[in-house]
This record gives sequence, structure tokens and C-alpha cells, in this order.
Amino acid sequence: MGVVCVINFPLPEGKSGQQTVDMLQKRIETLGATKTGNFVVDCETYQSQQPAPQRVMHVLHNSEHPATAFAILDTGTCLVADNTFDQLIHKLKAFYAPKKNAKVETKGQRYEIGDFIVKIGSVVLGQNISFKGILIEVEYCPCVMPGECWGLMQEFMQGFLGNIIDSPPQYIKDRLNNAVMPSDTVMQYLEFYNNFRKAAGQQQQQQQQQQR
Amino acid sequence: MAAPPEKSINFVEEISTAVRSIQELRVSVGLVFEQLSDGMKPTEDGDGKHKKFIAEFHQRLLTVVKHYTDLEKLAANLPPSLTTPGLGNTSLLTLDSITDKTPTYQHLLQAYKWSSKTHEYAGLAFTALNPHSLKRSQNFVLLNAKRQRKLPATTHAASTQLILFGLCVTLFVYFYRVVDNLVQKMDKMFPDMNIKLTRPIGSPAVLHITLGMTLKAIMVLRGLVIEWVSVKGYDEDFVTESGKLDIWSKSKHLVFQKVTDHTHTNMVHYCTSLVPEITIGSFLVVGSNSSVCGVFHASVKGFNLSHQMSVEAKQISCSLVYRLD
Repeated sequence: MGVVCVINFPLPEGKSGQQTVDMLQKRIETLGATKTGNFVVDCETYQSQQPAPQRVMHVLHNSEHPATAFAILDTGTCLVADNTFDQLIHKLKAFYAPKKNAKVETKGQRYEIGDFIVKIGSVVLGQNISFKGILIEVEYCPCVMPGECWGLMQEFMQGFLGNIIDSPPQYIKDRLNNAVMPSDTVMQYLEFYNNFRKAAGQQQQQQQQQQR
Repeated sequence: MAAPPEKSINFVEEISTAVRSIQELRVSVGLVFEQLSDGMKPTEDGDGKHKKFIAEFHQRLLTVVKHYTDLEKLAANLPPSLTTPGLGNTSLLTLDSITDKTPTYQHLLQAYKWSSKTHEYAGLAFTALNPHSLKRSQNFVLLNAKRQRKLPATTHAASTQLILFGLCVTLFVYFYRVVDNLVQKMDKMFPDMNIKLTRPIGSPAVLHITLGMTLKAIMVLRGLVIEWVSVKGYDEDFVTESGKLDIWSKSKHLVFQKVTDHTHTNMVHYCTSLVPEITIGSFLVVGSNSSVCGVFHASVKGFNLSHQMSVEAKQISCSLVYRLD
């Protein structure tokens, strides 16, 4: 696998999520990309049932690595396991229970263009499947060190996203000279998922206050 | 069976008419090209000049079409040629009673035409390529010399063969050492380049080169002459599923496929069979420089390299050439 960068594409004013996704898909297709199927990255959150210390564990699945489950603790420790891990966690209900309404999922189209893989996905949160934003994953396959190809990736992304990225995201910046791992991709997704959840929580609080 | 005299006279007349028609067609086509090459006459001016030229051109084209149609009509009236050119004993095949069903001889004639054409073009290609010889070793000289001198089977000849054999063995051992020394030297010279030498099939040395975390390359040497180079990504391997060395497979990444193409160009272009060490040295210098420039300079511009290759690739190859010079 190559260097992966996940970014959040802000919704332009007056445009819905679906319209923005369509626009981005059109742009990448105009560049000459070919559709190569769909992709899903989902995240389920579990909370420890022990009174102290209260731990949160996120279990993520990435369709790019279909036989793998990534379990990430709130401390940042990542366990990369076989996808039978889900059954194991199911049996550990007494210790780790799934958080209600906390499932996040990114779904969308997967494209290939030369040595790049581009995934344009919309993020939905909870059981209500409320749209939260657009995440774009760009992978440059021939390279394993972000520091060596960031300039190239930036140039490529500017081609269809415009000037929304000036510098590498913080997660990549900290690991410019490290070889990338599959867990790095899901970690980037998780960062965004946490942000979306926080924003959703704040929105809920505001609504409750207004109702009172 | 001979044709009746009247028919044969008609046949000859038809052929002569057809030949005349071809001549007319050639003249009319010649006139068209003559007019085109002369262009418009400078004496006339304005739109009139253009219109006159186009009208004249149109007229001449119509003449060509007319002559062509005449020729087609005449050709349709001509009986099919029964006499086929002979190709020695093979012409006996035409005597086959069921020749209509199995046109072996006609096919044979076509094949003969093709093969003679191929021979002719090969000759032309040889004349064109001979001044720019791509032979990268001097072994052919020795081989040719061997072929020319066929020694008679005497005791003297046997001793000469023994001496030659001994010489070959000495050379073999010498090259072994030279290649080993060279690889050690190169390994020290380029600290960010890891070079591993193996000899999976005896004498030819295979260098496994890993350049930082950027790329992997394989280089097959015959003596000190570079025979084959293949470049792949850091995440790829040169091993088949059965665990054997695989020097032929291409990289799955477009950028490395292009880089491999460029290495092949350099391999041929910068070959000096008199001082082959220089070739290998220059080759590795190019690789190391490109790594310093960050997944090779090629890759920084690599998006273009992967997709619109031509322009960028030319620039990169120029920069490589510049570095070598």
C-alpha cells in the first residue's frame, strides 16, 4: 500500500452533500479516472463496563483490507486483528458494550487514476443516518514515505479539490519520514469521526437548550 | 489447352487498352500533383486567383476519377490471369486437379512475396542500423574469429583448445573477482543504497539494489556488461509465487514502469564495452541522485509522468543525461 491522505471537503454554500459529491465525482472523472467499485469505512464504538478507568474502544473496518479489523483505544494504541475480532468483542459484552447511536460510516465511490486511488465518501452518523460531511481519501501507491511524495499528492489534489490544502494534515506531518501502515489510514478516519461526533454532540446540546 | 485465335487477339487488345488507360491515369494524377506543387500563380490577384485555382484543381480531379472508372471497367472485363509465375519445382502444385478448392500455390506465392519483402526491409534496416550499433559486448568478435578458424583435428589443435579452455577458466575467475570487488566498492560509495550480489544461475551476477525506502531494482550483469535492469516499488518483490527469482515481471506502478524504460535507454546509450565499470558507476549515480531528489525528481513531477508522460519524461531523461555528462 502507498501513502494515504484523508481530508474533509467543506460543503460549498448553498449545495447539499449529494450535489457536492456529484460535483467531485464529475471532476475526477473528467481528469480521466476510472470507477473501480465502492468503498466503506465503518467505525463502531465500545465503552468499558468497569467503573474505573473508563475506556473507549473504536473498532473500524476498511473495505480496502476486508479481512482485517482495527481496534483503537482512546489512548491511540491500535490493534490490527483478523476480522473474527468482531465475534470476540461480541462475546465480551460484559466488559465492552457498544455505545448507542455512535456508529459512523463513510460510503462512496472508489476511483483509480494512474498510480493514484481516490475515494469520495459521504459520512453518516448514528441510526438516523444523518449526513455529516464529505471525506476524501487519496492514496499514492508507489511510495511508502509521506515526506517523499507529499508535494506530488498536494499537486494532484489541487487538480480536483482546489486550494483547500496548504500543508499536510497534522497526522501526516508527524509521520513524514515513517513508512505507512494500513492502520494509519483508519487512524486518520477516526480523527475525523471523533470531530464529527463532537460537532453532533454540541448541536444536540444547543437544540436541547433552545427547547428549554 | 490453347485459347482460340480470335479470343487471344481480343485478349491482347483488351490488355493493351488497359495499359493505355493506366498510362492516362498516371498522366492525369501527375498533372494534379504538378498543379499542387506549382501552387497559385503570383500574376493574378484576389479571390479570382483562388477560384480559378480551385476550379482547375477540381477539373483535374474529375479527369482522374474518369480515368480511374474507365480502368476499373476494363479490369473487370479482363479474364483472370491463368499463368502464374513459377517458383521452381513448387510450380507443379498448380497442376493439382482440385486447385480451385485448395489454392495452395496462390498462398505460397503470397508467402513468397511477403518473405522477399521482409528480406528486403531487413536489408534496409541493417544498412540503417549498422552505423549505430547497439551491440554491448565484444564477445561477438571472438565468436566470429572462432567460426572463421576451423582447426583440423590434430594433437596440436587439441593442445590449442586446451590452452583456450584454460584461458576461459582464468577469465571466468578473473571476472568473478572483478565483479565482486566492484560491487563492494559501489556499496561503500553509496551509503543509502544497499547492494546485494547473488549468482543464481552460475556466472551472471544479479545485483539486488534497494534505494532507501524509495525503490528496489535488479540488475543482471554478464561480465561487467549490464544485461537487464528492472525497477520496482519498495513494496514489491522480485520473487515469483514459487519463490524463484523473477527478473522479467513489470512493476505494478506506472511510474516505475516508466523509470524502468528510462533505465533501459540509459543502459544502451551509456554503454562503453571498453570500460564497462564506468557504465555501472554512472548507472548507480543516476539512481542515487534521483533518490536524493525525493522519490525521484521524476516522481515529484510523477503525476504528469504517469499520465501525460511524454513532455515530463523527456525533461527527466534530459536531466538524467545532464547529470551523467
